[in-house]
Amino acid sequence: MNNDSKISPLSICFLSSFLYRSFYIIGLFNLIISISKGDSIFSIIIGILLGLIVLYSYFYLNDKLTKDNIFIKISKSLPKVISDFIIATLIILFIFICGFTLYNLSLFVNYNLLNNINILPISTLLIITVIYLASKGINTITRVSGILIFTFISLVIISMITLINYSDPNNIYPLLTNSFLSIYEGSIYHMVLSVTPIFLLLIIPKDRIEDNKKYNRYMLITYIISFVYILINYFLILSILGIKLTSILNYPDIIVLQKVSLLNFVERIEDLLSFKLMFDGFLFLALASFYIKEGILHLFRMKPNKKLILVVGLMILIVSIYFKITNIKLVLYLMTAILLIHFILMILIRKKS
Amino acid sequence: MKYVKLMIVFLISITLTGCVSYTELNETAIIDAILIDKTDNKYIVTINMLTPTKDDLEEKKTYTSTNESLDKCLSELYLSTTKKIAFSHLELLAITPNIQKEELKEIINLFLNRVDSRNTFSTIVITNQEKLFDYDVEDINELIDINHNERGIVSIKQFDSMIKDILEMNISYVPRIKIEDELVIEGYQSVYEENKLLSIDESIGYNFITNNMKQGLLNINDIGIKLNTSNTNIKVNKNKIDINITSSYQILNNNENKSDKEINKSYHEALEKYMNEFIDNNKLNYFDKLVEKYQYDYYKNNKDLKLEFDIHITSTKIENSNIKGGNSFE
Repeated sequence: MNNDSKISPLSICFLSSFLYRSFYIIGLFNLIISISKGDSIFSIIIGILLGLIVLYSYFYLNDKLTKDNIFIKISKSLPKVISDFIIATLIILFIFICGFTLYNLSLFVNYNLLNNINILPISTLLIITVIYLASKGINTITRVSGILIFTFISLVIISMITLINYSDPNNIYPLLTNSFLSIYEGSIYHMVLSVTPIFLLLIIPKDRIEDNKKYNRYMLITYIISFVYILINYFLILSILGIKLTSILNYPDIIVLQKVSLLNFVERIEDLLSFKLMFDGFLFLALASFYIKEGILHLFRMKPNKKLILVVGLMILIVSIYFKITNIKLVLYLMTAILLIHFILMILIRKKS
Repeated sequence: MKYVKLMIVFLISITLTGCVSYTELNETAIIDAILIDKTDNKYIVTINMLTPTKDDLEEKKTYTSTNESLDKCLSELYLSTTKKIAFSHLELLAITPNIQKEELKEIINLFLNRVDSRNTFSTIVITNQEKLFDYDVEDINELIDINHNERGIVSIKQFDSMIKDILEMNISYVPRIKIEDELVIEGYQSVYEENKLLSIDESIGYNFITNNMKQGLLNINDIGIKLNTSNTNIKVNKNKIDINITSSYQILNNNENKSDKEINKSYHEALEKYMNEFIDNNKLNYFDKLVEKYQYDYYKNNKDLKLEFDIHITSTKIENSNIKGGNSFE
């Protein structure tokens, strides 16, 4: 496949819809619930609105120097020493975030699909798949996301049709019992952890996108649809389990999926349905690995090298197994740093232009 | 290079398939029911283990363990069955009335921390438990389900639903079954904060209040009445609770030839009696929760709630001929 061939805007939109949910199953949902409790729904809504600022900064950076990816943009806009420092920082931050994602995704697989298996084989198998996908380039990653979105939608339809019967809206009450500060804190966390991964898409130069005049509009529509789904899913979980039970469970999504039964005889399909929760982290890892590889190539002025992606995968695996990061608040700080870097970049590029 | 790739594939296939810590299926104890009792500060855990036989039938064996903690009981059971106990196919958790708040906490923690437990199994309280495993688990669950649909005394309480009730109200109502010559449903048993058996009327009242009444055969002053539909709507205004029940019923037998008006009056009085029985004789945590949910500010400022109840019943009598597929007793 030609690595410079055009990419359909729709497949990038599909990919972005997975990126918004990258951290949901591996900690974001529980984090928001623990902070905003019964008022998490307001945190998510405010977080979605605040996320539009992040989306705007993505559009802004994407619309400048449209022939180049983010690393070339940084190099062209800033002095060499500063640009190299920023690129290196971005690479290191994403390696740690990928380490967290890989480790927690492995824990999720171990908890739900396997039973007390060593984490290393699971992480290794996951990272091998991720590396294979990332080594095929951005075209393949976006096409895979196009295939996965249809699988995802069918699994969502199957689960929602059944779960709607278990839903009791009374379970979400009482509302507005927490301080505005905790709601606001939850919304900031939601904005940072759900919308910031969108900056990974800056690795795709805008000129490589087909029919890119309408691209921003498509992305905005995808943003709205993705978060409407997240809100519906949140409402469904809370209306079935209630806030107190939800807050003590590791993976409330899975507990809810255990109730799915098709025509009263197809039961115990939560393992199959839980795959929909893994796609997000998997595609995040694939895109981030590709992003890190491109960053290293640019930073060290290397020629395209097929083996580099193996090194990236190995680095992520080592970080994942060695540091065993399970605290999502640490990832929150790393993601906040990434967000701030992009905001500063936006200001610097605007000044220069 | 080709051989190196082949070697990598070969190594992956033998090292990363999870075969290191595997458990054979015939080394797994598949449990469909578990009974937990406590006497003399010791837990008595009995499990019903299913073993597939060659002729596609399931052989059942029960094992019992007595120890100070649930974990020790399970470890002992592992030794006596020589199999790894799996809760993934658990269909029934039976506890005895001896299980109090602290024990229930331990039981909940046990199941919440077990990765293999689905927590959607039904929970019952049982007396005369010695013969529990003479019955099929499916039969016990079916009995409760039929009772819910036909008599409306109790309904199936799933384990996760019980935890939810306990977390929100500090109390949960679980079906209680007694084993005599056959299985007998006694009514609901309150667990956790309070441990008591509700009367049949209180149990029906609880089902009406929680909108969990599907259908029921009611015998009111020697008149056979079949409840067809029931919908409960509760409105909360500070400490005032308005319970509105809209229902339809059908007269099955009216030997004393009472007028429709008289029957309707008796029907309303009976429904009110069921609910008042529950309200007067039980802790009102369910209503406290409703006040907390819908009148949070009032609840926050008035921890000692003095609830006032107002019950309204609207009913429609359905003629037997209007019921699709219904039998006429006239």
